[in-house]
Amino acid sequence: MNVGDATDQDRFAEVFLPHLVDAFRLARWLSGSRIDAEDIVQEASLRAFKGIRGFSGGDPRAWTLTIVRNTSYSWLAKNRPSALVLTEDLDQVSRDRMDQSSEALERTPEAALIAKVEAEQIRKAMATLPVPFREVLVLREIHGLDYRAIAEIAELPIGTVMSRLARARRKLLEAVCGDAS
Amino acid sequence: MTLSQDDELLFNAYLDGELDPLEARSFEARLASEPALAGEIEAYRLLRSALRSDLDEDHPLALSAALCPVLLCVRHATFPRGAP
Repeated sequence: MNVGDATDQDRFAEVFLPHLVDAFRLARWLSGSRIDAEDIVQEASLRAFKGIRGFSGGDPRAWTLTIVRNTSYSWLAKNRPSALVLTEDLDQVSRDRMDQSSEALERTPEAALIAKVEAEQIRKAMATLPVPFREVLVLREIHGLDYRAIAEIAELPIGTVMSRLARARRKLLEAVCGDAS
Repeated sequence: MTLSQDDELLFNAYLDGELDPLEARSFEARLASEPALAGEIEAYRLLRSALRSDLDEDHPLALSAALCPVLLCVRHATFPRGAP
């Protein structure tokens, strides 16, 4: 081990390690599995370590989440490519389904239903969301990031972040209420 | 209830604290006069807290055990210098 390695380790410990829990949460929500998330975070940790000199002093949490997000996508592309499919056709199907269920929702007190929802139902409902929708929802609701930060991490225009977030919430509510009723 | 696309974006931006104070006040005035809209906001807030409460299993202790191999690997790192 030489001096250069020691410095990289210090930087890695300073920049990446404090956000391991965040890293794991993002990977778990995106992959839908603890075990897969462990794989992803391990890989992301190595990428982060190798790339630590590229960290130019911005927000370390956003830097960490960007690496985890990108690693999750490459992991999914390799191991579960169908999870990343997001076509307009699929969207249209979801929209039709959503339109039907929003009629049902009008007759159903959503809040009362959600109050009874258990963690397992939420996880199942989240798993029904396409990853690009799940991603913005997790970055917003779990990580508490604002639209600008989400746009940077997911490499999307803010308008797309907003529309995906709106649709992700609608789809999630639909899935949760459909399951609970 | 069914919202127009513009209303839905406004609704979400309000929920996320992304409206400026003036826009937020005007949206709150609408909430006061549209109980269905207010109910919808409540549903999404509950959904948010349900999502957040599903975090208990990400206990840092369990997590650090899972990541021990990474930490060890980094501690004893022998990566080629300048690797991407």
